[in-house]
Amino acid sequence: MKNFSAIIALAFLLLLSTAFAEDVSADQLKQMTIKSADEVASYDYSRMAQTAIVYKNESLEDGFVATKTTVGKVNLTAQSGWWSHQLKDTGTGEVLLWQGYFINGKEYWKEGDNWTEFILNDSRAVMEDYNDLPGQAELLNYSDMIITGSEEIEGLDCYKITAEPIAAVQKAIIGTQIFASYLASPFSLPDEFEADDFDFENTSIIENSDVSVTAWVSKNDSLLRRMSIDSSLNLTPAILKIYEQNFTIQSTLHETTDYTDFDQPVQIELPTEALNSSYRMQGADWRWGVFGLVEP
Amino acid sequence: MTQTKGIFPMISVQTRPAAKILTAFIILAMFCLSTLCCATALAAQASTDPVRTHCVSSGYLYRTTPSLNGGQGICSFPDNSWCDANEFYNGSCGPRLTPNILPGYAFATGSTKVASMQEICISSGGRIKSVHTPYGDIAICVFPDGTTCDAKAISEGRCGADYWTIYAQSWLNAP
Repeated sequence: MKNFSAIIALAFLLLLSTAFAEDVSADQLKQMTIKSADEVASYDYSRMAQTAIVYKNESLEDGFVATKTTVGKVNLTAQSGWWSHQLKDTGTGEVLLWQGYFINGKEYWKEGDNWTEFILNDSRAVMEDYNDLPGQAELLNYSDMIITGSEEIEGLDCYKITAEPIAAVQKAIIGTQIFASYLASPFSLPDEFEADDFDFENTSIIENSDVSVTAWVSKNDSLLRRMSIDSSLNLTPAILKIYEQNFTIQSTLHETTDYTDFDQPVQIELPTEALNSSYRMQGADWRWGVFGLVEP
Repeated sequence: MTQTKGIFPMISVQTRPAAKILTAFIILAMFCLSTLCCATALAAQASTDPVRTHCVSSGYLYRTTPSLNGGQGICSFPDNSWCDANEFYNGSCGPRLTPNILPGYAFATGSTKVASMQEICISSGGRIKSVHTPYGDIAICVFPDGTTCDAKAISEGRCGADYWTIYAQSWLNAP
């Protein structure tokens, strides 16, 4: 009987220690994720973003829906990177293509069939732009985050995290979403927006917007495997400081990024046609702007 | 009698003094013109996207207005001041800061030095961090005490303000 109790106690202790071995605080996991992101040599990523905007007033109801899919490769050992965007305007069915290469300290863009080689002042900074992962890890770092449980991603046991970015980041996202919403809008941007001292009505905008992040970090190596960001906004007359009945602009943006093939061999080769580059004669199609800055 | 000039071996010219001067002038003019063309082409290439992008991604408005700056691109700031876009890109011109809004982190009043966001952040012991957002990465400065400030807010002296438009204003100049 004594032996049986001892076995039970031992088993309990083993279970307890296993449970604690998996336990990690949110702050610890932030630091581990940052460190792991800084130490990788190469990886692939794929991203899907979708935005839907609905415009309404007394006499009009209109909308805009688009998706942007991105695949990319990063080789930090060779200091090279590549991304390829495909934007689909769901309303018209139009598809826009854009690729970027960073190889041997030079950057090339392919827009449609046209190539441009850029003169770079700071190629190190450009490589940092191509290195997608650390910025996502920093988004977690500058968020209030909670480990909500465990889930498998591609067969890997991961911590599941929910996070709310700090105010400065939320404001950058929501503020940009407001203006991005106006790019496809049948309503014109209020003139007051150009005034130096214009700002939105603070309380209303907080009540009518939400930014949330969900992330999955693998337990064995603390690498970020997947991150989803949701941002929603309901623009009301109060926020915009305008007077119009039944006016709303509702905008949602969902983005999910998957990171794979960490530290696997990555080949990024510049197509020979890129060497026949010409000057970039015009800016990007406005629909790229719906998903943010022209840069990737 | 003809003579071949070394620098332009394929051009034959008369040796009479007046003709010599005229020819030399034409050659010099052609050389200057070709140099100018090359320089203009290079400037055009250099100022295509990085210059505009640097202005816009810094939160300012890139404009080309015939009545300003000889029609060359300008980067205009919230106080309606502006810089030639190339000069802003090169760091030789920038927005006027309002140091009293950010006393600990900005240069003294009256300073003629143009301080970039990086300079202000780093001189305050801070570190620049690039943070992903679904609308593009943003830069924030993390000060030694752990407080953070958006990079654009620093460069406009509005750290800590409710400044929803700080990134968004660049959308007025959307692609």
